[in-house]
Formats: sequence, C-alpha cells, structure tokens
Amino acid sequence: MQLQIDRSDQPGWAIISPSGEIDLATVGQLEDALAASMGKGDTDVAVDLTGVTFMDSTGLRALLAANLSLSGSGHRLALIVAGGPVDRLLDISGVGQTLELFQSVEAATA
Amino acid sequence: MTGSLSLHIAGDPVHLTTARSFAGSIARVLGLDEQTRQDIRLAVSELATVLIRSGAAELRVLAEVETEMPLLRLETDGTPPSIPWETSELLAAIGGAVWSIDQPWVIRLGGAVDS
Repeated sequence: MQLQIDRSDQPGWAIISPSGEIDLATVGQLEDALAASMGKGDTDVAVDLTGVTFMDSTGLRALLAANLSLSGSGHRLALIVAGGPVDRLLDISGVGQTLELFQSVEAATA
Repeated sequence: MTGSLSLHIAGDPVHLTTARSFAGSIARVLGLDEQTRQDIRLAVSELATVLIRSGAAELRVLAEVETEMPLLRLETDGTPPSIPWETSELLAAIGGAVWSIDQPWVIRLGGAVDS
C-alpha cells in the first residue's frame, strides 16, 4: 500500500496527515514531510496518524527524531492516535509515554 | 488447514507489505484474533526489515501450519544478521502470542516460545 501524506497549516501549527502504511519503504516520505514542516521555523507540528493502517519501528524512529529536534528548539510534536496498530505500537514500545498523544487534531492544537 | 506455504520476495522494502499480508493471512486462517494478527504482522515487518537492511537479495517467509504449534520462519540466503537489540526489545515486548528468537528466526503462532 502506498503512503499518502497531506499537509495543512493552522496558526502556530503544521499538520501532517499520513494515510496508509509506514515502513522502510515509505518512511522517507514521512521524514521529508516532518523536515519540511520543521523547516518552516516557528511552528509546532501535529501528525495525525488516524489514517495510518500500519506502522513499524521505522516510523516510530522518525517520529522520535522529530520530537527530539522540535523539543530542542522549544517546539512541540503532537501525535493524533485513535487506537489500532499505531496505538498498539506506541503501547508495546513504551514510547507512548514520552510523546504527546491526542485523540483529535482539535484537541492537539487547542 | 495443513501443510506448508512459502512466500519468496526480493529484498526490497516495497515487498514488506506483501510479507505482512502473507503473515496476516496465515494468522487469519488459523483463527487468531485481530490483536494477535496485528502483532504477527508487526513482528514479520520488523524482522524482514532487519534482513533487507542487511542486504539480503531475497527473503522467504515460510509458514508451517501442519503441526500443533504452527509457525512462521523468515529465511534468507547466507547467514542472517544479528537482530538489533532495539528490535529484540520490541519483539519481546509484544509477548503473548508472538515470540521471536534469533536463530532461526521463528515466530510461533499461538503462544509457545521456540528456542
């Protein structure tokens, strides 16, 4: 399955919305989208993962790297997760406790 | 369901989704629940990624389903690489129905640990 990534902006936030599967074949697209959003400068980044049907640790590493980069510049990475395989991965990896998780974009950017 | 099935794919990341689908289909046919099927797909993806990153030209996912403890085995030509510790940690954390070991690379479908 291909990965499609939509991007949009809200005041103070860059929103990245991937749909599909994130693995070694597609993680580069996510990394590019994260880099482009972080390159905008003074903005926080929200990644809406509700359309992701599968993600393995390659995607997780990309998100952790982005979180590290953003926090280092005083910004936030917010993940929108609504159950499913992504939630399971965050849970079993223990990473979910170190990232900001929300159930909707509205909640993340409020 | 009896017998063995195998999937041969090139060592190219674009085929990871095929490997996951194969593993998920086997798990579904065996009647495993949705959570377990997700875990098995994740385990296969993690292990296949390690093999692809090691430069494997071809991967084989073998499903042995004729035994009381069916399993998935990932193989490649040559000596498989060591599994990175972070991958091992993740696979160990899955626990329950899915377990993996270093040599050979086996995922038990149903709870037992091969060693």
